[in-house]
Amino acid sequence: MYTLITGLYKQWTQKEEFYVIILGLDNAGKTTLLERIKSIYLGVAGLPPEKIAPTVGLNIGKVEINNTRLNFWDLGGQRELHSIWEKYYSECHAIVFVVDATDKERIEEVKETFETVITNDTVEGVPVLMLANKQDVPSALKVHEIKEIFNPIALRLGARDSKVLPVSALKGDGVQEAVDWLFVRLQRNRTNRPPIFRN
Amino acid sequence: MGFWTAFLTTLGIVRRRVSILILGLDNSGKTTIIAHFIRASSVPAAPSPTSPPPIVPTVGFSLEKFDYENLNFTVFDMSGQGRYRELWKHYYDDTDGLVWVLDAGDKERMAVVREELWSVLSHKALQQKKIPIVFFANKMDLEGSLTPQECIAALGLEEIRDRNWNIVASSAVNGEGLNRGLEWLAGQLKER
Repeated sequence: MYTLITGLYKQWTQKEEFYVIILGLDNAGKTTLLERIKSIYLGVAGLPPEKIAPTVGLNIGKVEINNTRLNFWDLGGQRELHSIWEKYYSECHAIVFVVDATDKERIEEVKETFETVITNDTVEGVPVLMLANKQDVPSALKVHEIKEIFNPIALRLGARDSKVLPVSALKGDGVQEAVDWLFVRLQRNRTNRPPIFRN
Repeated sequence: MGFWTAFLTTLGIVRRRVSILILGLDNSGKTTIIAHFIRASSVPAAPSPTSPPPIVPTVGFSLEKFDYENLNFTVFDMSGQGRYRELWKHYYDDTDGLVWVLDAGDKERMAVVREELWSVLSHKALQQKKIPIVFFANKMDLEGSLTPQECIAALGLEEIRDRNWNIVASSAVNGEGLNRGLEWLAGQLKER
C-alpha cells in the first residue's frame, strides 16, 4: 500500500526535464541571453548586462513551461573552452547557438565553430536554434543575411529541426519566441531524445 | 532578520550579510586571498610603518569579515591541511557560496584536489543546496602554472552540472584576478 501511494505520488509530482546547451563564440551574448530568459520566465531581475564577465565555467537557468522544466546550460565561449562543450552533448536535448550579428569579422570563425558542433555524431538529430543576437544594433546582420551565410552548412544539418531567429538579449526582443520554438521542438524530438523525469 | 534590518537592507542602507566558505588544499593561498579582500574593503589608513603580519598556515579555521559592494561577507577561512579537512563539512549548512582555491602550480597534487573536491560536492548538505562555486586558479604569476582550462580538465569540473560555477586565474600576491572572481560570486549571491 505504501509503495502504491508513494508511487502514485511520484507519478503525480514528477516533471519532465529537458536540457538545452547555449553555445557560441565569446562575447556572443550567451550569458546575457540566459539572464534575459531567467528574468522573463522567473520574473526576477537578472544580472545587469554590464556586470556580466566572460564565463569560464557554467551558468544554469531553470525555467518551467506547462509543467515541463527547461534547464539551460550556458557554457564559456572562449576558444580553449570549445573542447569542453562536447562533454555536454550526450545529455543535451537541444542546442542554442548564439551569434554576435554585429561582429562581421568573426563570421568565418563562427562558421567553423558551428560546423564542428553540428557535425559531431553525439548531437545527431538534436534540434538546433541559431540566434542572430544584438539586433538592437542597427548595423547588425539581419536574419536573412545570416541564413545566406549559413545555408551551405545548414544542408549538413540533415533532417533535424533547425531555425535562425533574430534576438536582442540586451533588450529582450525575440527571446520568448526563441524559447517557444525550443519548447515545441523538444517535444517533437522526444522519441529521439526522451526527457528526464525528476521529482 | 528583523523588520527594520530587512527594510534597511532593501533600501541598500544596510549591507546584506552573506557567508562563504573558502576551501582548498594547504598552501594554495586561501588566507592571502582573504587578506587582500579585507585590505581592499577597509578604509585606507595612514601607511603604517610596520608591514602586515606574515601569512602562516591556518590552524583549524579563522573567521573574517569584509564588505564588498552592498554585501557584507562573513568568511570561514578553513585550514587546508589534511588533518583539518574533516572540519569542513560542519560549515556547509550555513554557507551561501563556496570559494575554492587551487595552487595551479602544484600539478602533483591535482589528483588530491580532485578527490577532495568531489568528496565535498557529494556531501548531503551541498547536494541539497545548489550554492555557487568560484574557483581561483591561483599562483598564475608562477611560471608553468596550469591555465583555468587545464584546471577544468585536471579536475573534471565539467562534471559539475547542478550549480553555477566559474574559474578565474588569480595571483593572491599581486591581487590579479581576485576581484573578478569575487564580483562573479557577489552577482550570484545578489540574485537570490
